[in-house]
Amino acid sequence: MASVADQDRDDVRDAQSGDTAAFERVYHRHAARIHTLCRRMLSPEEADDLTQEVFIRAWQKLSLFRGDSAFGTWLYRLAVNLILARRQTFASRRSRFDGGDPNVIPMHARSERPDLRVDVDAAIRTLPPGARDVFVLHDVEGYTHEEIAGLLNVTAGTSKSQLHRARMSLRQYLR
Amino acid sequence: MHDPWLEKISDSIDGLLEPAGEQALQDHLAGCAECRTLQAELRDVVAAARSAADTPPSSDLWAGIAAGIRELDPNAMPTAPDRLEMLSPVAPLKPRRSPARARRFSFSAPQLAAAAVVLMTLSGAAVWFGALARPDGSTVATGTIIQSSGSGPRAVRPVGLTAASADYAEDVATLEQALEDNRAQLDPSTIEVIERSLESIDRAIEDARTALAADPGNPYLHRQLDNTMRKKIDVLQRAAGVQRAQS
Repeated sequence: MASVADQDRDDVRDAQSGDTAAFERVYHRHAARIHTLCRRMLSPEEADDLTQEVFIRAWQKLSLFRGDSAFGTWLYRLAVNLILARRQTFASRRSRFDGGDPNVIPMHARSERPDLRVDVDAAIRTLPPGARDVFVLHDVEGYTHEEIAGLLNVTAGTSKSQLHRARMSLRQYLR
Repeated sequence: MHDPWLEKISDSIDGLLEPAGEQALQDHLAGCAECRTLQAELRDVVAAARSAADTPPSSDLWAGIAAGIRELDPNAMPTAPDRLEMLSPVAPLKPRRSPARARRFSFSAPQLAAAAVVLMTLSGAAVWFGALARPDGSTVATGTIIQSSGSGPRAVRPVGLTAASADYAEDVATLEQALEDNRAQLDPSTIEVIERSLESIDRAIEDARTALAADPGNPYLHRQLDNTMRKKIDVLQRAAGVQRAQS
Protein backbone atom coordinates (compact mmCIF):
# COMPACT_ATOMS: atom_id res chain seq x y z
CA MET A 1 0.00 0.00 0.00
CA ALA A 2 1.30 3.42 -0.96
CA SER A 3 2.46 5.70 1.85
CA VAL A 4 0.72 8.98 2.60
CA ALA A 5 3.67 10.80 1.04
CA ASP A 6 3.37 8.72 -2.15
CA GLN A 7 -0.37 9.26 -2.33
CA ASP A 8 0.12 12.97 -1.74
CA ARG A 9 2.72 13.19 -4.47
CA ASP A 10 0.43 11.62 -7.06
CA ASP A 11 -2.70 13.48 -5.99
CA VAL A 12 -0.97 16.84 -5.67
CA ARG A 13 0.47 16.43 -9.16
CA ASP A 14 -3.03 15.75 -10.52
CA ALA A 15 -4.52 18.58 -8.48
CA GLN A 16 -1.92 20.94 -9.91
CA SER A 17 -3.43 20.10 -13.28
CA GLY A 18 -6.85 21.15 -12.01
CA ASP A 19 -8.20 17.81 -10.82
CA THR A 20 -10.40 18.56 -7.83
CA ALA A 21 -11.10 14.88 -7.24
CA ALA A 22 -7.41 14.41 -6.49
CA PHE A 23 -7.46 17.46 -4.25
CA GLU A 24 -10.45 16.07 -2.39
CA ARG A 25 -8.41 12.97 -1.57
CA VAL A 26 -5.67 15.25 -0.27
CA TYR A 27 -8.25 17.05 1.84
CA HIS A 28 -9.51 13.83 3.38
CA ARG A 29 -6.00 12.70 4.27
CA HIS A 30 -5.09 15.96 6.01
CA ALA A 31 -8.41 17.36 7.24
CA ALA A 32 -8.13 15.96 10.75
CA ARG A 33 -4.65 17.32 11.34
CA ILE A 34 -5.42 20.77 9.97
CA HIS A 35 -8.75 20.99 11.74
CA THR A 36 -7.18 19.95 15.02
CA LEU A 37 -4.45 22.55 14.62
CA CYS A 38 -7.06 25.26 13.94
CA ARG A 39 -9.12 24.13 16.90
CA ARG A 40 -6.16 24.19 19.25
CA MET A 41 -4.56 27.42 18.12
CA LEU A 42 -7.81 29.34 17.65
CA SER A 43 -11.07 27.87 18.83
CA PRO A 44 -13.51 25.09 17.97
CA GLU A 45 -15.92 27.71 16.66
CA GLU A 46 -13.43 29.01 14.12
CA ALA A 47 -11.94 25.68 13.13
CA ASP A 48 -14.40 24.71 10.37
CA ASP A 49 -14.18 28.06 8.68
CA LEU A 50 -10.43 28.25 8.84
CA THR A 51 -9.93 24.67 7.71
CA GLN A 52 -11.91 25.48 4.59
CA GLU A 53 -9.84 28.59 4.09
CA VAL A 54 -6.61 26.61 4.45
CA PHE A 55 -7.59 24.16 1.73
CA ILE A 56 -8.95 26.83 -0.60
CA ARG A 57 -5.73 28.80 -0.15
CA ALA A 58 -3.70 25.63 -0.67
CA TRP A 59 -5.53 25.08 -3.96
CA GLN A 60 -4.68 28.64 -4.98
CA LYS A 61 -1.02 28.20 -4.12
CA LEU A 62 -0.65 24.64 -5.32
CA SER A 63 1.44 25.64 -8.29
CA LEU A 64 4.03 26.99 -5.86
CA PHE A 65 4.50 23.61 -4.21
CA ARG A 66 7.63 22.10 -5.74
CA GLY A 67 7.92 18.99 -3.63
CA ASP A 68 11.03 20.14 -1.79
CA SER A 69 9.38 19.06 1.44
CA ALA A 70 6.53 16.70 2.20
CA PHE A 71 3.20 18.12 1.10
CA GLY A 72 1.86 17.69 4.64
CA THR A 73 4.66 19.90 5.96
CA TRP A 74 3.96 22.55 3.33
CA LEU A 75 0.24 22.46 4.06
CA TYR A 76 0.79 22.60 7.79
CA ARG A 77 3.02 25.63 7.54
CA LEU A 78 0.46 27.31 5.32
CA ALA A 79 -2.16 26.58 7.97
CA VAL A 80 -0.01 28.02 10.76
CA ASN A 81 0.54 31.19 8.76
CA LEU A 82 -3.16 31.58 8.09
CA ILE A 83 -3.99 30.98 11.73
CA LEU A 84 -1.53 33.63 12.82
CA ALA A 85 -2.83 36.04 10.21
CA ARG A 86 -6.39 35.37 11.31
CA ARG A 87 -5.43 35.98 14.90
CA GLN A 88 -3.73 39.23 14.02
CA THR A 89 -6.76 40.36 12.04
CA PHE A 90 -9.14 39.69 14.85
CA ALA A 91 -6.78 40.41 17.73
CA SER A 92 -8.27 43.69 18.79
CA ARG A 93 -11.78 42.34 18.59
CA ARG A 94 -10.88 39.22 20.50
CA SER A 95 -9.16 41.16 23.26
CA ARG A 96 -12.35 43.08 23.82
CA PHE A 97 -14.30 39.88 24.22
CA ASP A 98 -11.65 38.08 26.24
CA GLY A 99 -11.64 40.98 28.58
CA GLY A 100 -8.11 41.61 29.21
CA ASP A 101 -4.48 41.08 29.49
CA PRO A 102 -3.35 38.23 27.29
CA ASN A 103 -0.38 37.70 29.57
CA VAL A 104 -2.60 36.62 32.40
CA ILE A 105 -3.03 32.90 32.33
CA PRO A 106 -6.53 32.04 33.50
CA MET A 107 -6.74 29.28 36.02
CA HIS A 108 -9.62 26.94 35.43
CA ALA A 109 -11.02 24.42 37.75
CA ARG A 110 -10.48 20.83 36.88
CA SER A 111 -13.30 18.79 35.54
CA GLU A 112 -16.07 18.25 38.04
CA ARG A 113 -16.17 14.68 36.79
CA PRO A 114 -12.84 13.21 37.84
CA ASP A 115 -13.80 9.96 36.18
CA LEU A 116 -13.62 11.67 32.82
CA ARG A 117 -10.36 11.70 30.94
CA VAL A 118 -8.80 15.12 31.08
CA ASP A 119 -9.46 16.98 27.88
CA VAL A 120 -6.06 18.15 26.71
CA ASP A 121 -7.62 20.38 24.08
CA ALA A 122 -9.78 22.10 26.67
CA ALA A 123 -6.69 22.63 28.79
CA ILE A 124 -4.81 24.12 25.84
CA ARG A 125 -7.64 26.56 25.25
CA THR A 126 -7.09 28.04 28.69
CA LEU A 127 -3.69 29.35 27.60
CA PRO A 128 -3.18 32.85 26.25
CA PRO A 129 -2.47 32.94 22.51
CA GLY A 130 1.32 33.26 22.63
CA ALA A 131 1.86 30.44 25.09
CA ARG A 132 -0.77 28.34 23.33
CA ASP A 133 0.95 28.68 19.96
CA VAL A 134 4.32 27.67 21.33
CA PHE A 135 2.91 24.79 23.35
CA VAL A 136 0.95 23.38 20.40
CA LEU A 137 3.83 23.76 17.98
CA HIS A 138 6.50 22.44 20.35
CA ASP A 139 4.92 19.86 22.60
CA VAL A 140 2.11 18.64 20.37
CA GLU A 141 3.62 19.02 16.92
CA GLY A 142 7.30 18.65 17.68
CA TYR A 143 8.67 21.88 16.21
CA THR A 144 11.98 23.13 17.62
CA HIS A 145 12.28 26.52 19.29
CA GLU A 146 14.26 27.76 16.30
CA GLU A 147 11.51 26.71 13.90
CA ILE A 148 8.86 28.26 16.12
CA ALA A 149 10.86 31.46 16.32
CA GLY A 150 10.82 31.65 12.54
CA LEU A 151 7.12 30.92 12.33
CA LEU A 152 6.03 33.29 15.05
CA ASN A 153 8.61 35.97 14.41
CA VAL A 154 9.98 35.83 17.95
CA THR A 155 13.31 34.78 19.37
CA ALA A 156 14.05 31.21 20.35
CA GLY A 157 14.41 32.46 23.92
CA THR A 158 10.91 33.87 23.87
CA SER A 159 9.63 30.58 22.54
CA LYS A 160 11.30 28.71 25.41
CA SER A 161 9.95 31.14 27.93
CA GLN A 162 6.39 30.87 26.58
CA LEU A 163 6.65 27.10 26.57
CA HIS A 164 7.69 27.07 30.17
CA ARG A 165 4.79 29.31 31.15
CA ALA A 166 2.37 27.13 29.23
CA ARG A 167 3.60 23.96 30.87
CA MET A 168 3.43 25.48 34.33
CA SER A 169 -0.14 26.54 33.72
CA LEU A 170 -1.23 23.24 32.23
CA ARG A 171 0.42 21.34 35.03
CA GLN A 172 -2.08 22.89 37.40
CA TYR A 173 -4.95 22.19 35.05
CA LEU A 174 -4.01 18.58 34.43
CA ARG A 175 -2.93 17.78 37.97
CA MET B 1 8.56 31.95 39.77
CA HIS B 2 12.13 32.71 38.82
CA ASP B 3 13.52 29.81 40.68
CA PRO B 4 16.39 28.86 38.38
CA TRP B 5 15.52 25.20 38.65
CA LEU B 6 12.06 25.55 37.17
CA GLU B 7 13.20 26.32 33.64
CA LYS B 8 16.05 23.84 33.92
CA ILE B 9 13.56 21.10 34.68
CA SER B 10 11.62 22.06 31.58
CA ASP B 11 14.81 22.14 29.50
CA SER B 12 15.86 18.79 30.92
CA ILE B 13 12.61 17.20 29.78
CA ASP B 14 13.36 18.46 26.28
CA GLY B 15 16.97 17.25 26.44
CA LEU B 16 18.29 20.78 26.09
CA LEU B 17 20.65 20.83 29.05
CA GLU B 18 24.37 20.41 28.66
CA PRO B 19 25.80 17.43 30.55
CA ALA B 20 27.09 19.65 33.35
CA GLY B 21 23.75 21.39 33.72
CA GLU B 22 21.92 18.09 33.67
CA GLN B 23 24.19 16.72 36.40
CA ALA B 24 23.63 19.80 38.55
CA LEU B 25 19.89 19.43 38.16
CA GLN B 26 19.97 15.77 39.10
CA ASP B 27 21.98 16.64 42.21
CA HIS B 28 19.37 19.23 43.14
CA LEU B 29 16.45 16.89 42.50
CA ALA B 30 17.97 14.29 44.77
CA GLY B 31 17.48 16.61 47.68
CA CYS B 32 14.33 18.52 46.67
CA ALA B 33 11.01 16.70 46.79
CA GLU B 34 9.13 19.76 45.56
CA CYS B 35 11.17 19.92 42.36
CA ARG B 36 10.82 16.18 41.84
CA THR B 37 7.06 16.58 42.01
CA LEU B 38 7.23 19.47 39.58
CA GLN B 39 9.36 17.42 37.21
CA ALA B 40 6.85 14.57 37.29
CA GLU B 41 3.95 16.92 36.65
CA LEU B 42 5.67 18.64 33.76
CA ARG B 43 6.47 15.26 32.25
CA ASP B 44 2.79 14.42 32.50
CA VAL B 45 1.93 17.62 30.65
CA VAL B 46 4.35 16.83 27.85
CA ALA B 47 3.15 13.23 27.65
CA ALA B 48 -0.47 14.40 27.48
CA ALA B 49 0.40 16.81 24.68
CA ARG B 50 2.25 14.17 22.70
CA SER B 51 -0.60 11.70 23.03
CA ALA B 52 -3.28 14.21 22.01
CA ALA B 53 -4.91 12.74 18.94
CA ASP B 54 -6.05 14.60 15.88
CA THR B 55 -9.78 14.48 15.38
CA PRO B 56 -11.56 15.20 12.13
CA PRO B 57 -14.16 17.95 11.80
CA SER B 58 -17.63 16.94 12.93
CA SER B 59 -18.97 17.45 9.44
CA ASP B 60 -17.43 17.04 6.02
CA LEU B 61 -16.14 20.45 4.98
CA TRP B 62 -15.34 19.45 1.41
CA ALA B 63 -18.56 20.85 -0.09
CA GLY B 64 -17.65 24.34 1.07
CA ILE B 65 -14.06 23.93 -0.13
CA ALA B 66 -15.21 22.70 -3.53
CA ALA B 67 -17.59 25.64 -3.81
CA GLY B 68 -14.74 28.01 -3.01
CA ILE B 69 -12.49 26.35 -5.57
CA ARG B 70 -15.15 26.55 -8.24
CA GLU B 71 -15.56 30.24 -7.64
CA LEU B 72 -11.83 30.75 -7.89
CA ASP B 73 -11.37 28.42 -10.80
CA PRO B 74 -14.50 27.63 -12.82
CA ASN B 75 -12.45 25.42 -15.13
CA ALA B 76 -11.40 23.07 -12.36
CA MET B 77 -12.36 19.52 -13.15
CA PRO B 78 -15.45 18.47 -11.23
CA THR B 79 -14.95 16.31 -8.22
CA ALA B 80 -17.35 13.60 -9.20
CA PRO B 81 -20.46 13.47 -11.35
CA ASP B 82 -21.91 16.67 -10.10
CA ARG B 83 -21.47 15.88 -6.49
CA LEU B 84 -21.95 19.50 -5.61
CA GLU B 85 -25.21 19.53 -7.47
CA MET B 86 -26.33 16.57 -5.40
CA LEU B 87 -25.55 18.40 -2.21
CA SER B 88 -26.52 21.89 -3.07
CA PRO B 89 -30.21 21.69 -3.96
CA VAL B 90 -31.37 20.81 -0.53
CA ALA B 91 -28.63 21.42 2.03
CA PRO B 92 -29.75 24.26 4.29
CA LEU B 93 -27.11 26.90 4.72
CA LYS B 94 -26.14 29.05 7.62
CA PRO B 95 -25.91 32.75 6.83
CA ARG B 96 -22.37 33.89 6.31
CA ARG B 97 -20.90 35.15 9.51
CA SER B 98 -18.78 37.98 8.30
CA PRO B 99 -17.99 39.73 5.03
CA ALA B 100 -14.38 38.67 5.40
CA ARG B 101 -15.39 35.05 5.11
CA ALA B 102 -16.86 34.99 1.65
CA ARG B 103 -16.86 31.69 -0.22
CA ARG B 104 -16.65 29.52 2.86
CA PHE B 105 -19.58 27.47 3.94
CA SER B 106 -19.98 25.10 6.77
CA PHE B 107 -22.50 22.32 6.90
CA SER B 108 -23.17 21.18 10.42
CA ALA B 109 -23.95 17.59 11.22
CA PRO B 110 -27.70 18.35 11.64
CA GLN B 111 -27.69 20.21 8.35
CA LEU B 112 -26.02 17.36 6.57
CA ALA B 113 -28.40 14.95 8.21
CA ALA B 114 -31.31 17.05 7.00
CA ALA B 115 -29.80 17.14 3.55
CA ALA B 116 -29.37 13.40 3.62
CA VAL B 117 -33.01 12.93 4.59
CA VAL B 118 -34.10 15.17 1.77
CA LEU B 119 -31.82 13.44 -0.69
CA MET B 120 -33.16 10.09 0.42
CA THR B 121 -36.67 11.39 0.00
CA LEU B 122 -35.89 12.74 -3.43
CA SER B 123 -34.08 9.57 -4.34
CA GLY B 124 -37.03 7.56 -3.13
CA ALA B 125 -39.31 9.68 -5.20
CA ALA B 126 -37.03 9.29 -8.19
CA VAL B 127 -36.95 5.53 -7.77
CA TRP B 128 -40.68 5.52 -7.40
CA PHE B 129 -41.10 7.65 -10.51
CA GLY B 130 -38.71 5.40 -12.35
CA ALA B 131 -40.70 2.39 -11.30
CA LEU B 132 -43.66 3.81 -13.11
CA ALA B 133 -42.11 3.04 -16.43
CA ARG B 134 -44.42 2.40 -19.28
CA PRO B 135 -45.06 -1.18 -20.22
CA ASP B 136 -42.87 -0.83 -23.30
CA GLY B 137 -39.98 -0.06 -21.02
CA SER B 138 -39.80 3.66 -21.58
CA THR B 139 -40.09 5.91 -18.60
CA VAL B 140 -42.65 8.55 -18.02
CA ALA B 141 -41.60 11.78 -19.60
CA THR B 142 -41.17 14.81 -17.43
CA GLY B 143 -42.84 16.81 -20.09
CA THR B 144 -43.67 20.41 -20.24
CA ILE B 145 -47.38 20.02 -20.97
CA ILE B 146 -49.76 19.26 -18.16
CA GLN B 147 -53.26 18.03 -18.62
CA SER B 148 -55.23 19.96 -16.11
CA SER B 149 -58.70 18.77 -15.46
CA GLY B 150 -61.42 20.80 -17.04
CA SER B 151 -59.27 23.41 -18.67
CA GLY B 152 -57.37 21.60 -21.36
CA PRO B 153 -53.61 21.34 -21.68
CA ARG B 154 -51.56 24.09 -20.13
CA ALA B 155 -48.15 24.95 -21.37
CA VAL B 156 -45.41 25.03 -18.79
CA ARG B 157 -41.98 26.19 -19.83
CA PRO B 158 -39.16 23.72 -19.51
CA VAL B 159 -37.01 23.66 -16.41
CA GLY B 160 -34.45 26.38 -16.82
CA LEU B 161 -35.74 29.08 -14.60
CA THR B 162 -33.63 31.34 -12.54
CA ALA B 163 -34.28 32.43 -9.00
CA ALA B 164 -35.07 35.88 -10.26
CA SER B 165 -37.57 34.67 -12.81
CA ALA B 166 -41.01 36.13 -12.35
CA ASP B 167 -42.37 33.14 -14.19
CA TYR B 168 -41.31 30.78 -11.48
CA ALA B 169 -44.18 31.42 -9.11
CA GLU B 170 -46.65 31.14 -11.95
CA ASP B 171 -45.21 27.84 -13.11
CA VAL B 172 -45.16 26.40 -9.62
CA ALA B 173 -48.75 27.48 -9.09
CA THR B 174 -49.77 25.89 -12.39
CA LEU B 175 -48.08 22.64 -11.55
CA GLU B 176 -49.37 22.56 -7.99
CA GLN B 177 -52.87 23.21 -9.19
CA ALA B 178 -52.54 20.43 -11.73
CA LEU B 179 -51.31 18.10 -9.02
CA GLU B 180 -54.20 19.04 -6.80
CA ASP B 181 -56.75 18.68 -9.61
CA ASN B 182 -55.55 15.19 -10.39
CA ARG B 183 -54.85 14.09 -6.86
CA ALA B 184 -57.51 11.41 -6.99
CA GLN B 185 -55.60 9.61 -9.72
CA LEU B 186 -52.66 8.95 -7.46
CA ASP B 187 -52.21 6.42 -4.74
CA PRO B 188 -52.16 8.01 -1.24
CA SER B 189 -48.66 6.66 -0.61
CA THR B 190 -47.52 8.33 -3.81
CA ILE B 191 -49.08 11.59 -2.74
CA GLU B 192 -47.28 11.26 0.58
CA VAL B 193 -43.89 10.77 -1.07
CA ILE B 194 -44.45 13.75 -3.33
CA GLU B 195 -45.63 15.98 -0.54
CA ARG B 196 -42.72 15.00 1.67
CA SER B 197 -40.34 15.86 -1.13
CA LEU B 198 -42.00 19.19 -1.72
CA GLU B 199 -41.98 20.05 1.97
CA SER B 200 -38.26 19.33 2.17
CA ILE B 201 -37.60 21.42 -0.89
CA ASP B 202 -39.70 24.28 0.45
CA ARG B 203 -37.70 24.24 3.65
CA ALA B 204 -34.47 24.33 1.66
CA ILE B 205 -35.77 27.23 -0.40
CA GLU B 206 -36.69 29.09 2.74
CA ASP B 207 -33.26 28.45 4.26
CA ALA B 208 -31.54 29.66 1.13
CA ARG B 209 -33.67 32.79 1.07
CA THR B 210 -32.88 33.47 4.71
CA ALA B 211 -29.18 33.06 4.06
CA LEU B 212 -29.43 35.34 1.03
CA ALA B 213 -31.19 37.99 3.08
CA ALA B 214 -28.13 38.09 5.31
CA ASP B 215 -25.71 37.92 2.41
CA PRO B 216 -27.44 39.13 -0.76
CA GLY B 217 -24.31 39.31 -2.89
CA ASN B 218 -23.25 35.74 -2.38
CA PRO B 219 -23.22 33.91 -5.73
CA TYR B 220 -23.14 30.49 -4.14
CA LEU B 221 -26.33 31.17 -2.25
CA HIS B 222 -27.96 32.38 -5.44
CA ARG B 223 -27.03 29.12 -7.13
CA GLN B 224 -28.29 27.22 -4.13
CA LEU B 225 -31.65 28.91 -4.31
CA ASP B 226 -31.82 28.53 -8.05
CA ASN B 227 -31.01 24.83 -7.92
CA THR B 228 -33.54 24.20 -5.20
CA MET B 229 -36.27 26.00 -7.07
CA ARG B 230 -35.46 23.99 -10.17
CA LYS B 231 -35.74 20.86 -8.12
CA LYS B 232 -39.24 21.84 -7.06
CA ILE B 233 -40.30 22.36 -10.64
CA ASP B 234 -38.73 19.03 -11.52
CA VAL B 235 -40.59 17.14 -8.80
CA LEU B 236 -43.87 18.75 -9.78
CA GLN B 237 -43.31 17.96 -13.43
CA ARG B 238 -42.49 14.38 -12.59
CA ALA B 239 -45.64 14.15 -10.52
CA ALA B 240 -47.62 15.51 -13.44
CA GLY B 241 -46.01 12.94 -15.71
CA VAL B 242 -47.03 10.15 -13.35
CA GLN B 243 -50.57 11.47 -13.32
CA ARG B 244 -50.67 11.42 -17.11
CA ALA B 245 -49.29 7.92 -17.21
CA GLN B 246 -51.94 6.68 -14.82
CA SER B 247 -54.86 8.48 -16.40
